[in-house]
Amino acid sequence: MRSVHWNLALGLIFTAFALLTLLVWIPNDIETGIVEKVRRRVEVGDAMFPVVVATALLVVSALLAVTSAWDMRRGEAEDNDGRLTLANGRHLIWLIAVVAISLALMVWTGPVVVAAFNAVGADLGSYRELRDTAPYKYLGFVLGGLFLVVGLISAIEGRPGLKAAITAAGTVAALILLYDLPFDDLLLPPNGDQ
Amino acid sequence: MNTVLDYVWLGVLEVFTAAPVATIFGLPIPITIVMVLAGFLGGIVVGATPGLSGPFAMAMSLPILISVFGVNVDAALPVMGFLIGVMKGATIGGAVPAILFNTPGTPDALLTTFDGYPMTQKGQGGKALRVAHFSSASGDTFSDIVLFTTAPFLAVLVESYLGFAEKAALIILSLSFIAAVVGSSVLKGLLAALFGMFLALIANGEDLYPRLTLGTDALRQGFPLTSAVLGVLILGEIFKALEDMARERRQRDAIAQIKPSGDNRLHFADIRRLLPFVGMSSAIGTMIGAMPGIGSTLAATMGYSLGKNISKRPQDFGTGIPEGVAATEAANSSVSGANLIPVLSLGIPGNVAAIFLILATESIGGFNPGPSVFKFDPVEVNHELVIAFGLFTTMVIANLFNWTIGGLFMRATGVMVRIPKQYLLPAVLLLTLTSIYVESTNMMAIYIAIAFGLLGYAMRRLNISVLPFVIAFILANNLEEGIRRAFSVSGNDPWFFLDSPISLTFFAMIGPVIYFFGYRAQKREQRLAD
Repeated sequence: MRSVHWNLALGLIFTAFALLTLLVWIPNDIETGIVEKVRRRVEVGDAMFPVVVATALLVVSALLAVTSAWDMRRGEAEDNDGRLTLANGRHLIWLIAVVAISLALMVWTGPVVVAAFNAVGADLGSYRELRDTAPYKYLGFVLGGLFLVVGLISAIEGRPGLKAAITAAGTVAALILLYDLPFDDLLLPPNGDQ
Repeated sequence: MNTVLDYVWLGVLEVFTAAPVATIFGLPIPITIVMVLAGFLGGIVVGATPGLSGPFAMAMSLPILISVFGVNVDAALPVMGFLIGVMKGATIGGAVPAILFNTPGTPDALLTTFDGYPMTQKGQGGKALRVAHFSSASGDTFSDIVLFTTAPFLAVLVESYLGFAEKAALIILSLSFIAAVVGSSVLKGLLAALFGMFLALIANGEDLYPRLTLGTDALRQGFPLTSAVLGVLILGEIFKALEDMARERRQRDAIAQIKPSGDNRLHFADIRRLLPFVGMSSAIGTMIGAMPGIGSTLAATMGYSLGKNISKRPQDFGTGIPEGVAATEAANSSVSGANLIPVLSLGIPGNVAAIFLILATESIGGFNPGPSVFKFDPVEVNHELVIAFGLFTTMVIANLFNWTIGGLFMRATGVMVRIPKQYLLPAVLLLTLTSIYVESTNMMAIYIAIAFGLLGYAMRRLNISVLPFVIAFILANNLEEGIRRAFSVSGNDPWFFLDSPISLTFFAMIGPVIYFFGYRAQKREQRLAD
């Protein structure tokens, strides 16, 4: 798809979004109106500003769609105004996959390891009780962090390598030194909401 | 009785009487000055590292700073002093890889390569760095002086003459201006601003039921400011850079280092010859910087073009002459100080550094950048005003560091270019995610930041500028609050915007601003590019 097609698509998508927002989302998801009466005084309601913004969005996106369609018709459209390609899609898929796996490792490694120790007879208690105790508090961050950095470097370089592993280990260690060791009140991910 | 000079003096004292971290020859060294120095040196290192920039350093350091200094009003100056230091350091640091290795870290540094790198190839890299430092420090100092004198004056004018309706109209005009001038298309800029504003409204109403949450718990708190801003600004940039690097991996060349030859010092005669270029570029950069949203790239381009126009040997521009480096560096450095004029006088952040100052003050409290800061209360001390003058003092101190040790430190950071970007950016991604988490201690903040990062990636690929989105996101709630109050103060008059000639004028200016600064300027640029 050329840039102008993307501009047209962008205009149409946001026109549809603005229409849906004005006709469906705002009426069903805001309890006050555009104005409301509070103790016999008229006040601006919660719906007023979203309606104004969505209306402006509707006008601007419709204009973008119309001007893009007009440019296409005249065949005068520049092709350097940005676009998303299949290659971009592939990049996003591996990026999201690496980030998602590393975040899953971050969140689940600690609780799973503690549960496994408990299952074989150790009496560690819950992960929540250990979330500020070394080495348990580092498990998720270290494994997730290593996976994230090694995964991304390997994807850029086209192959995994020792340098990637050393960089990842150095980064994770530096972040623990920076955020965790000097400060009692800071918690590394995911220990704050365990 | 507090006069203006009393407030200035109190601001200076606030910096110099902050808690001392050490004593040198019996002299206590206040923490704020140490933080300015740390930010300045860190900023130079970050600016000199290709692939990194000031905002990365600010994003990384903010949660640490807030954790170290706490959320009380005493934290404001050390934290903001550090951020100011980073802003100034990164500006001069950016010239190093551009001059020595022909690898501009930022778009405005691209123009520095035009003459800076050819100078290096002639063995004059040291001289090019000295010229860049002198021009950059001069432009920055000039810009700061304009900020110190203009911002309070403008703020007093705004507070004296503008009510709620007029201020709301001014925010709308400024956002339209930013959306029009930034990026490749006026309509896409406006689309970005309106979408950013809409997302900021989620869950932020006054009713007990949080609006537009789709009935989900995930949206009940709205989108956290830090996650949204860092997601679009920092993560979006990293996601894009990772892809660019993967694509370029087979085209990477080894970086060659060229040995210096001849006289690399900067003599008084050189300075005298460069002064007209530095002066003119500083004035241009400051004027451009004072307008919200216009970045240093335009300033650098205009400074370089006008420098070529006034030069007696325009044909030599691009072949490696100090005048080319001076014209570019003075212009892009003079943007940074003036960029704070809109945020301090109008409360409208005009650039990324101002956005980070707002993020810092949002967390710390006790100081809300905007016109209300400049209330010269003669009876009771206005502490926000004292902090504002303290902020100016930190800028003066950063300039002193720049003039004294900046050049030396800058020339020592050439080694940073050897750090491979492909190892650096994944580490920076982990660092940014960690810093977002540390500040909010909630995994949801990371998920939201990644979602906004993907949005920032898509915007960059589709040539939609992220700055209008971020600024509108930050200003949305202020704007809504202004409209609510204006409506209330007007006695529920639905035409409250039209009752005031000032707000009417602001609204009338929106169309011409979009047409002349946006549409026509972009058409002109397209013609030039063709």
